[in-house]
Parts: sequence; structure tokens; C-alpha cells
Amino acid sequence: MKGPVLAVVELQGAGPVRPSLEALGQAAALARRLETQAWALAVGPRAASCAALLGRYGAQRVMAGGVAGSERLCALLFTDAVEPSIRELRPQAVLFAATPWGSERAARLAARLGVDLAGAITSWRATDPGTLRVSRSVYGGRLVEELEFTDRVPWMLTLRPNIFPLGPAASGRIPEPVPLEVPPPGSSCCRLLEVIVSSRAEPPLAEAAVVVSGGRGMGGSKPFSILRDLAEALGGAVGASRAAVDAGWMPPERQVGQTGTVVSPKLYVACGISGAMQHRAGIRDSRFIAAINTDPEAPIFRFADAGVVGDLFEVVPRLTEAARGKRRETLEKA
Amino acid sequence: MRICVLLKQVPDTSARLQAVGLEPLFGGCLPVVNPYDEFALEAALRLRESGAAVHPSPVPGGPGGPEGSCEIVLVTLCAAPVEEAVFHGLAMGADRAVVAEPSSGARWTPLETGRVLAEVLKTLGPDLVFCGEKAADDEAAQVGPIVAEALGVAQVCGVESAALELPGPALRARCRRGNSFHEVSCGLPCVATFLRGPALPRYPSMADIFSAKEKPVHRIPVSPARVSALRRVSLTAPPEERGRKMIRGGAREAAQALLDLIDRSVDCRA
Repeated sequence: MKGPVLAVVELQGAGPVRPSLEALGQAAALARRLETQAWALAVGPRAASCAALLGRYGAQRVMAGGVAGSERLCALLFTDAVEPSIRELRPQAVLFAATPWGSERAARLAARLGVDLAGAITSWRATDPGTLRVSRSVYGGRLVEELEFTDRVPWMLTLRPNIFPLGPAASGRIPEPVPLEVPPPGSSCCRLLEVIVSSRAEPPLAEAAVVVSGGRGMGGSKPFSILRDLAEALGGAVGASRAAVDAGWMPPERQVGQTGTVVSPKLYVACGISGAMQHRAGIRDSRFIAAINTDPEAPIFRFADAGVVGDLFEVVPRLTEAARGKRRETLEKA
Repeated sequence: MRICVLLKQVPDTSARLQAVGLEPLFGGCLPVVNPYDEFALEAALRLRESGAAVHPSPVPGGPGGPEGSCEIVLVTLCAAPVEEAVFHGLAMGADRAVVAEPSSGARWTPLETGRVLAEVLKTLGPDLVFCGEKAADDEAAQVGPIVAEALGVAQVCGVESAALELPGPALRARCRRGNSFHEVSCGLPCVATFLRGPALPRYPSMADIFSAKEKPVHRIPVSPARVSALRRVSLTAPPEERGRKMIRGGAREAAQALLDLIDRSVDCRA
């Protein structure tokens, strides 16, 4: 029998992050295709207690272990901790979510195992039992490449957040956690001194279902407050074009596009953004793109699903009002 | 102290690209330094300018540079000519460059690239290895961790700004983690990968450009140690244009119509 498909799950606070559950769902789908089992691996103080949840999202077995702080174990110690179990398990494939946590650990683990890794994939298909084909964006989203894995295993993948649906969420049986030996975080030469959490409760750009971005048309940092209101009404995050970040209106971690964050939300709202190549390429995987700009000739309109030619300072507040109204309606119905 | 900065040359990030077979068609677009590597080089230069990086090498018996000095060495691997990127890096302030030249023009996977770069780095004995978190061409975001693994040292990824902690020395870094930041301290030697932070890369002055021509560039032939198990089978330019339904009317009507269209098209809560 083939080795299992393993999803390595990122834990934060009380449980697994959403992109990891998306990856687990794909691990379960790939396992079905290969007629093998889907396993999950989680490292953290409460990892074992997540077994039932991971079972609902597609895991048939769960490897779990760790003490306080080990969900933030540095990539080197993390790799030391999981390598022996993964070698013993001989998985057919190992999947991570392409979050900052997952990307750096997947790359290190692949190097340790001496296998290739396909990063931030957006689709996959198991063509015949011995091969796997995956697609991923390259050149900042300007081109898409398809890669093929041969029979050298494990196939290692990281999955772009927001692309894949959440897994089965079926009421399968609760997998029995298999204990995993994990060293304490204090033994690392790379010490985490402080976590600085952004004051606003906003999802990270790469994982947000809705992103509302502003560009040169915002004219300054203060007007971004109207975008924050809209993002809040839609349950999303605020982004900015490179021009807005270059001007110092928004911090670099809010930059969307190349040299910033490549996003793939369900809804992207571009306000006062003309749509330079680096920006357009960085939002290409968004499900629906709406653009608001005073210039009817702005390139962003050709790249949008819907466009409003108008003053964003008039349109955005109305859009916020309408979105709040709709949300109230939905709440009342429920 | 010696800081090695990994540098890659990529096609202009603002140019439209097309694919011909399995390779992109660059047309007349200019080669530039991978912008993420430029952030890494800028961080190295600032570390040297801070004065902290003159500490003697913590690598026991390692060739970490003479006491009281800090050397910045560019290390690059490229089958194609890399003159522009290397020259720009030297003009920004690096002291010298080591160019690893592959025997063939075949595409290398990140694993091959990282391992060969690590072999080159072992001959240089760096205290710090800086590079971009990813390259603006293959977008792999793997070479930093692979180099760290091959050197057997810790990695610090997604760094926005860095400083040296003395005594120690240790690398003190502010790393971006989605919505939050991690402040970490990492013993030397280590590998750090950089993102865009508050400090933008400098523009070289005319004097810097002239002096760069005098700086040493050492070339060494290399070849990959293995045959890759991952190969590219297609490369395509995705469709650029979308439905672009234009909504007209006053602000209020347009806003309502836009929201209705969004609601019919996507479910943002699912």
C-alpha cells in the first residue's frame, strides 16, 4: 500500500488556522485519489486536543505533540522534531498551507528530506497513480507554470490560502492521536522575544476573503479610514498599492502585488488604483475584482469584473452604507 | 565580520511577459536585481553602517574577516550573464562578488540552487547570509531555508528590519507574520530572508558606480549534484481581461448596483 498523504497543520491560539484546514481538505482529496489514508501532524501544547476537529476536516490519523510555546518552535527545531516521524511514516505527499509559518518550514523540511517542493500551488491533479501535476503563479502572477512530480516521494507542496474550499467537515470518527516527541522551544538559538499584534482585528492580507485597497487616488493616509470602514462592513482587510506605500500613506505590510503580498480573496475592491502591471498580477487569483476610479481609461477597469467610474470619496461611503444595510438584513433574517 | 548577500537577476518586474514553450519571452525588458534581494543588500549595508558589524567573527577559526572590519560579499548563481545585477550590487556598496556559473543553461530547481550556493558559501565562511524571501521570477521562497539547512544553521524568515545585538553577537530581527510581527534574536551564523521594510534600497551615486568597476568579481564553475524530480511541463500567460461590467449612475445608485452584482457573483462569507 502507498504511504499516506500528510497535512502539516499550523496552530495558533485555540486551534488550527483556516489555510491549514484547506490544505488538510486537499490532503484528504489526494489520499482518496491515491487510495490511501490522510494524516495530519500538529505541533503545539493543545495539538492532541485538536484531533477531533482535524478528523472532521478530513484527517484519518493525527500525529500530535508539544509543550507551551512549541507552536512557535523555530523552523530548525521544528524540522528536527518532525523529521524522524515523517521518515518512518514514508508519506506519499506532504502538504502545508503557504502561510509564512508553513512556507519556511516546508522549505526546510524538503531540504532535509532531499526532495523538491512546489510552493504556493493553486491547483493539482493526479494524472496517473505515479505522477502529480500542480499549477502555480510565477513572475509575480504574470505567468502560470505547471510542474510535474515523478515517482520520487514525498511530493511536497504548499497550498496558496483562499484557493481551495474547506474540507469535508463530516462527522467522521475521532482519530486517535499518535504522540510526537517535540523539544522545548527554549533550546533554540533563534529565540522569539516578542509578538507584536496589529491593534486592529483584521485578517492577514494573504488569507482575507475580502480585500479593499487604495492607491494614489486616496491622496493621503487619513482618507484610508473610509476604506477601513468598508473593509469592516464586508469583513475584510485593507490593502494598498505600491504607490500608496511608497508615498508613506500605508505601511509595507499592507502592500498588495509584487514586492508586497500576492492576494487571492473572493472579493477585491480597488479604489483609486490605476492598475500597474505589478499590482494587476498580484491580484489575478481574486474571484471577483471591483474597481472604482475617476479615470475611465484606467487600466484596472479592463482587468475588473465590475467598475464604477466616479469619485471614490462619494462611492465608497455609499458602498459601506449599503453593505452595512445588507448585513443588518441578513442578521434580522437569521 | 563577513556578510554574504545572495543576489539573483530577474526580468523587469513591470514588464508584460509571454511564454514561448517552457521559457518566458523577455523581449526587450531590462534585467534587474531581484527586488527582495535588494532589500537584503540594503539591510546588510545598514548593519555595516551601524558600526555593530565590526565585531570579530564568532565562527571559531572561521575566516570571518579581520577584526574591526565588515566585508559584504555578493554571491550569485546564474547561467545567463548577470553583469547588471552584480554591478548594481557592487555600486550599492558591496565589496566584491562571487559568481557561480553553471556548466549548462538548464533550469535549476530551488533545491539544486540552494545546495550549490551553500557549497560556495562554505568556502567564504560568512557570519550572516542575507537574501530576499523570494525571487520575483520563480517565486519559490525556498533558497534561504535550503541554504540554512545545507549550512546547518538557523533561519530567520520574512525580516523587515535587522540589527546586531552585542555582546553575542546575535541578529535581532523584526519579522512579518501575516498581520503581526515577531521580534526574534538569533545566534550567529544564521540565514535571514528579507521582505520590503521601512528602509528602501539606496540609489548608487556616480562615484559609487565608477568605483564599482574596480571591485573584484570572482567566477567559479558549478554543476548540480542531482537530477531534479520536479520538472516544468507548461508555462502560460493567464488571461488578463475580465468581464468589466461598467456601472453608471450617481454614487448611491452605482454603489447599490455594485453591491448587488457582488452579492450575485460571490459569497464572501463562505
